[in-house]
Amino acid sequence: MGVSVVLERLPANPSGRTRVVSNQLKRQRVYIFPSLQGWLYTVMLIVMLLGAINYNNSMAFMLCFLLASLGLVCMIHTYRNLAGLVLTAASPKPVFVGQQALFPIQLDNRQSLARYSIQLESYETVKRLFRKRKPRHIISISVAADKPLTSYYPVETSHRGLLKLERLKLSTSFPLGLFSAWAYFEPEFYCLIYPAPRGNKQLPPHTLQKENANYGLQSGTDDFAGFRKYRSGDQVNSIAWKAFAREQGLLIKQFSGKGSQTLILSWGTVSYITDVESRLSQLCYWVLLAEKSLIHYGLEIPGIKIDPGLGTHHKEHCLEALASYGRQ
Amino acid sequence: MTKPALNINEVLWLATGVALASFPHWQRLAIWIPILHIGLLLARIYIPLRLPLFWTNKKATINMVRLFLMIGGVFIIYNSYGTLAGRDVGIALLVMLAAFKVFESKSKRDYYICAYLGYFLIITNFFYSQTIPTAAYMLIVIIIMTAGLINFNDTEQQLTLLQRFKFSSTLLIQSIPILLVLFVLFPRINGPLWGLPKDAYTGTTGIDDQMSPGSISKLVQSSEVAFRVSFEDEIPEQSSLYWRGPVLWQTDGRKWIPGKSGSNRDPAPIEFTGETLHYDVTIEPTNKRWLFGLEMVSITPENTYLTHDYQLKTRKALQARKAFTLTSHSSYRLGTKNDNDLERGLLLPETNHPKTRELASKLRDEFREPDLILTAALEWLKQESFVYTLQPPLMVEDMVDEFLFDKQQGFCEHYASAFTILMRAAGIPARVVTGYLGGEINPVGNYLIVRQYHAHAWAEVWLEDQGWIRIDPTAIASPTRINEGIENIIPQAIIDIPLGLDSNATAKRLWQQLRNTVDMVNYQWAQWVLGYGPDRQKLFMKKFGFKSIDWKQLTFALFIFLGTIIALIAAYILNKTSKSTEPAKMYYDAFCNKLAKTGTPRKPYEGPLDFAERVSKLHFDLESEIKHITDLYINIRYYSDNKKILQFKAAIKSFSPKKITTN
Repeated sequence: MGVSVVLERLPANPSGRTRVVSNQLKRQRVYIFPSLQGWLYTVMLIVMLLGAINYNNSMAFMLCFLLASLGLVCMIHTYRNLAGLVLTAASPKPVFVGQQALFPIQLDNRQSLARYSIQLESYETVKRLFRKRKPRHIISISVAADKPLTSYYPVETSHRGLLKLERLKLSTSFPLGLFSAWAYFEPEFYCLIYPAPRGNKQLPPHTLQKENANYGLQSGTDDFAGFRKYRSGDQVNSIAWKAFAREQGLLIKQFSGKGSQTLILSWGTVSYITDVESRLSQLCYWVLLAEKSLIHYGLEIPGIKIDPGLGTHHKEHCLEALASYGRQ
Repeated sequence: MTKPALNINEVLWLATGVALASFPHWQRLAIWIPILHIGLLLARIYIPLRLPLFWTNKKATINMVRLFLMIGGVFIIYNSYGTLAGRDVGIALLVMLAAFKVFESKSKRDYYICAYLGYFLIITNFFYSQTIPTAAYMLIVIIIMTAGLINFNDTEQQLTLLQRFKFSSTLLIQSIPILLVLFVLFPRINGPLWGLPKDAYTGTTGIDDQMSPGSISKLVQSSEVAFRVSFEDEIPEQSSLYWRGPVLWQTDGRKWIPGKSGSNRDPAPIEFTGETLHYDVTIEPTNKRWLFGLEMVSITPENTYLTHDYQLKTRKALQARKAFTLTSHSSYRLGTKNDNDLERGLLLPETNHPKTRELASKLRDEFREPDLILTAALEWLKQESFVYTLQPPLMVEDMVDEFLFDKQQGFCEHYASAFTILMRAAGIPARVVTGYLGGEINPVGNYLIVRQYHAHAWAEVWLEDQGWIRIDPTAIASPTRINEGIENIIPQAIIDIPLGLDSNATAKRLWQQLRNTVDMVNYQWAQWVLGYGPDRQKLFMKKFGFKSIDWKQLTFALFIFLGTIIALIAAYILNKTSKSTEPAKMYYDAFCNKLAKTGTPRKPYEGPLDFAERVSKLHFDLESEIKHITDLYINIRYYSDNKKILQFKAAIKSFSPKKITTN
């Protein structure tokens, strides 16, 4: 986690004298302005005032002034509903093109009053309001008193590579809708977008790995060759469960590399596809398929060479390479 | 922002608010307007709920019906009021419009327009009633409508119904200081800004500028307050409290009217003797120009004047409750010989009242001198068996003759009228004065309440050496009316004593006490809230040492006070909420702050355990204490071990880390 932003008003410390706030917090201004309904309300008040003066009616004055005061108090509450909120963003999980990228945003309410109906929307979508190129996402959040709340801001994806979270606009018009308060949040976070897995559902022909002395022990699938310690990312089905049951810890069954099936997913295997994006999509599909079928696979695309392997880390490594191909 | 169509919950709030705001109007409107109003509100709730398909698919049909109802509605309003202008019609139209708007409401904008129409309906109620109960009722309606707006903006529906009402009330309570500043300092000007509808001030009762049999006895049926008086010194005796109103000169034998007078003549010369009385009169709106002062007013307040025959009149009709400061003298000598007056004071309808004329000429022949004639006439009144009654028998033919010689039962108007005619017939100039007599002392606030049932009429006769003197023929016939007040004569029902209480003295006294207290509150309300206008504002500013303050200075003061009070409220709201309410977290924050001051602040992403681990390395001397505090915190906050809170507090209090020198 990186950037945290506090919306203008910093929480006073309980002793009430000094304010000490972590240096990590950046401050962000909260803006406030009457909404359309607020202006309409003002017009109503002016008409009421004229009526009160004309009829010399004290209670009409009283009501008019009460509603005017209510409007002003509402302004303070609308501001309070946003000010002092601490926002923190984090990197989202990578997704494939076409899926929604979900950017986690933590809204930390460090005050004793709940905040209601805070609207979150990406500023870019605000700018494009009239063009309507992207479906707009507005999420509405309420945060209880003294509680943090993590919410996910969804962004539609159409291209592989890195997707930046545009400036976020937080706005609220709670409690009466007469004023609108807003603030911006620019978290500098990117979501990695993998190519969409698409194309031929059949894996290309496996190539048998050449015999290599240095290539001795490989977690292949052929001949059992011994155990090694578990490393995170290892396939669950290569764990020696019997050994685990004997309380020998998590061990990985290793097989002799000789004769193990290895698949090199290279530019050559997709040479029949002309379009680069489609090639990447095909490779992406094969990576997922190979991972699922427990076939050792490596990746060789121009500029990148990943040795064959298996496991979540390996898969992510390959997908990342595919996602960022040509985008550096 | 696009918001989907209003849901049923929101419509319910809206319909409730609008219905409650228009509720007091229902009784004043033609019967079918409230029916249409409720019908439309219920239709808006019912149709989408029970017939959702009909509601969404048959828009055209619904619009047709709506249009038809709308035209029909306006037509019937025109039919029953005969016009489409004026206050009552305006309100009838507003009540109908509000219901139509709720009926067709679909969007966020519609919701707000309906809510604002609701607020408008509230203000229109004040044109009919400004009493404390009305204000209280309207306050409740405002709370409900504001809660409705909160509900509308609480898009996740996080608040419970009770919380919405609480929040709405909190908002209104926090508005009160701003409201007070605006109410007191907003520069008031004398309205109206434009012409008022003709029916703006109907339904006010009070003494009129004509007197016919029954006009005053009708007033006596009403216990409505005419005006209230607070005296600077003691309240004078009941029998001397003659509140002078219209003076009537011309009669046809039944009805008395002021008649044509040189109304632009200066007040008749007057000499004042006797004690001086200073007092404030707060008069209820009458929509007329008479002000009632004690006989005889010597100093007139601003914007009032005295007519030739000493009627105190205001320059503008009294359309709102108003207060005046008056000075009177208890004895006086009014008027000099004015031929015009004397001539008018002798006019009689020709060929009427033969018996009265006969008596008059008898008296004149016998006594000759006017003062002797007067004494003889009063003596005659005393000897005859006159009865003072609220229900006089019907007198059709010649009212004066029948009253004086036949029925001999009547009310003050009969006495004043008959006596004045008798005097005129005897050649003594006389006129009728109407007004009020006496008043009810409110011991709670030590002021006098003059009600409509204190209405009275008496006579004034001209004696060359004494001027115009007051003769109250009623006093001769019924001395109790004058000395003990009217309360002994009129039925108790008019004085508002509930049935059953009148037999029990203690209950009666308590009831009276309660009534007095209520009136005192009403009086203060009238004085300081309802009567707060340009004059009272000036008076109020004077109290704070601002001798003459114009609207520019007032606006300046308003902005300064407004700015200050808003800043204070903002500081209050923002400070109150910036503190955490969870004590454990509060103490833990204090602990973090202590550490932060030494140069080791807690990072926002650090959990208590991580933080403890990191700081322990820096504050190695305090390692065990830090661990102790963190353990306690985790136990209290995450395992709800609230018993340890005091221990936790103490541990944090005694925790004092040394500053870490950074290199």
